[in-house]
Amino acid sequence: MENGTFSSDLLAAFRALARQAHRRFGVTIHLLHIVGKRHAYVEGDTQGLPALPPHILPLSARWAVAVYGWETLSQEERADLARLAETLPVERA
Amino acid sequence: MSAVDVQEWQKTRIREDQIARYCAGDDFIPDGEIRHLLAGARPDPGRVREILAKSRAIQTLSLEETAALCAVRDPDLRAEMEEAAAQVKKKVYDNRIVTFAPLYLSNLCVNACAYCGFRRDNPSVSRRHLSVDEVRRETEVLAGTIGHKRLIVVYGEHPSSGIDYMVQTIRVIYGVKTPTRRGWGQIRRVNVNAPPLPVEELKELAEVGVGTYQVFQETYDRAVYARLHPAGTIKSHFRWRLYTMHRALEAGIDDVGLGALFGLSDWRFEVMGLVCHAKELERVFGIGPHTISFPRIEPAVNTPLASSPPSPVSDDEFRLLVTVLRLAVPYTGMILTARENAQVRRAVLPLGCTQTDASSRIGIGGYADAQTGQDERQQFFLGDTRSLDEVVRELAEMGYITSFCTAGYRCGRTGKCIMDLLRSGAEGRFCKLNAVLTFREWLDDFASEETKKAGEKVIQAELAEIREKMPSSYPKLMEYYRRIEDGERDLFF
Repeated sequence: MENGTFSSDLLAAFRALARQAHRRFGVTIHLLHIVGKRHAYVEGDTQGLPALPPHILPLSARWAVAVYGWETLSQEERADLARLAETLPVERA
Repeated sequence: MSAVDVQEWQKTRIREDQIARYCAGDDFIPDGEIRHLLAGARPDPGRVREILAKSRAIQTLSLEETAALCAVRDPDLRAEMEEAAAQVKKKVYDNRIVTFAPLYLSNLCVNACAYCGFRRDNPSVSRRHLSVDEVRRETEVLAGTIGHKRLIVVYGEHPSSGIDYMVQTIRVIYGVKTPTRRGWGQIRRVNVNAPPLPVEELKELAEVGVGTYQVFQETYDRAVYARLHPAGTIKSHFRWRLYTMHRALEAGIDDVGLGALFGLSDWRFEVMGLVCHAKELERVFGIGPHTISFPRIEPAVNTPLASSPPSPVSDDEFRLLVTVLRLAVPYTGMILTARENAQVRRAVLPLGCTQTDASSRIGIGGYADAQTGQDERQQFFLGDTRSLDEVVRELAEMGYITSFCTAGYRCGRTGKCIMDLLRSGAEGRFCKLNAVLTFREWLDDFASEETKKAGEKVIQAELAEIREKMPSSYPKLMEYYRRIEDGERDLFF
């Protein structure tokens, strides 16, 4: 990951979202920076990940959120989490 | 391009400011300390066992600990070390061996490395770089006939194979999709073995979606380095090469591959150098090497030094150095290549290696054009020219499942995340699941009947183990498995 190039606002917002996602939905989320085919890890708890495919929620051409535990969520919970992820302050271009 | 243009190009390559960013005074290879530790290492069994316990806990060893292991000569202690190495590999990466193929795209080079068949002043090598169409044809063979999913593409250091050529050819490789027996073949991960690049060009490489970026230091012994890389060549700059991975990580490539060419200097010094390099990356970035490679020098056409290396490494020493590397950097991938003959590979693979190649052809254009006379197009001579089908069968008979996994960098298990998962043993679960899925694809699309028989036994054993030990993953695994049996491709955890 590029040193010091991720805004502190984004990281703070993501950490808050990650806490909420864990508390409210029981899932672990990771913030991913997309560079070409590479989805590079930026932030998120790496402990206790379930051995299941993460669900990738795209936010823009450059950003996504990986959700570990997506399959445990109801349709409504998935929609709620996706809406919350959309509030992250990432560049949308 | 004229000789003058090539000379002018060379003058622009080294960026002292990008070295100074990470190296204010001494670099991170403490020659004196390394030699002192190696000279004074007298490991007793109790100390060695303490060190092995640390490796089993997936902790990077100190230089003192690494030197101690390099000095072990007692056969019983060596056996304990080898057992520990195998245990470490199983804990971190489970039972799988990942496979790949090398693809040499150019053998033009501005350097004059004394040990290399591609050195600029070797008239016995016919020089070229592949056109876009030729790259496409090579890839179609690799992905559509042999069945590889991962490549290491290799470029010489020359303006004709600079960053624009690298980006263009990598795009072409990723763009190839070719029908197979029951599905389709495609290269899903392109790793790159290339010259050291400046940060700006590394960002371009990151953009095109490379997997691992490899640059081997060749030798960490700076006196030997200076002797073998003539002054005035780009490659003669020890620190430009040494700090390449700092620049790569800065540029956003968070899977980097280290290596040394064994035979140039004392193998123990190189092992210590590799460990220093791994620890330096951990210190600065919190991310160690994704892989370590440990090729031994092989003969090359018209290259006397390659046939009589300054510090040859015996097969027994090779076993020991692989074991020590596995134990010293327990989380890293370890690549054993077809430079080594089949007998050596069979003996060394169980010592903690995680990746190997097969069906390898290292002549430029060597896959689509399988004519004889490859000698003058290749960098060195391969020790093992067996097909992927044969190697997969042998691995199955040894109890390993061959994996073509490319999942990690496509779902965010990179950099610090994968470091944490590897150290905790958690990544091994993903390795196991993805090995089953990708092996199923390969067996269905490419395997001979004989290899398929051997492969089915391994897959069934893996499925049984997953059902028993990973019950929460089993239903999803079987859903993907059935879909792959029905012809769907590229499903991963």
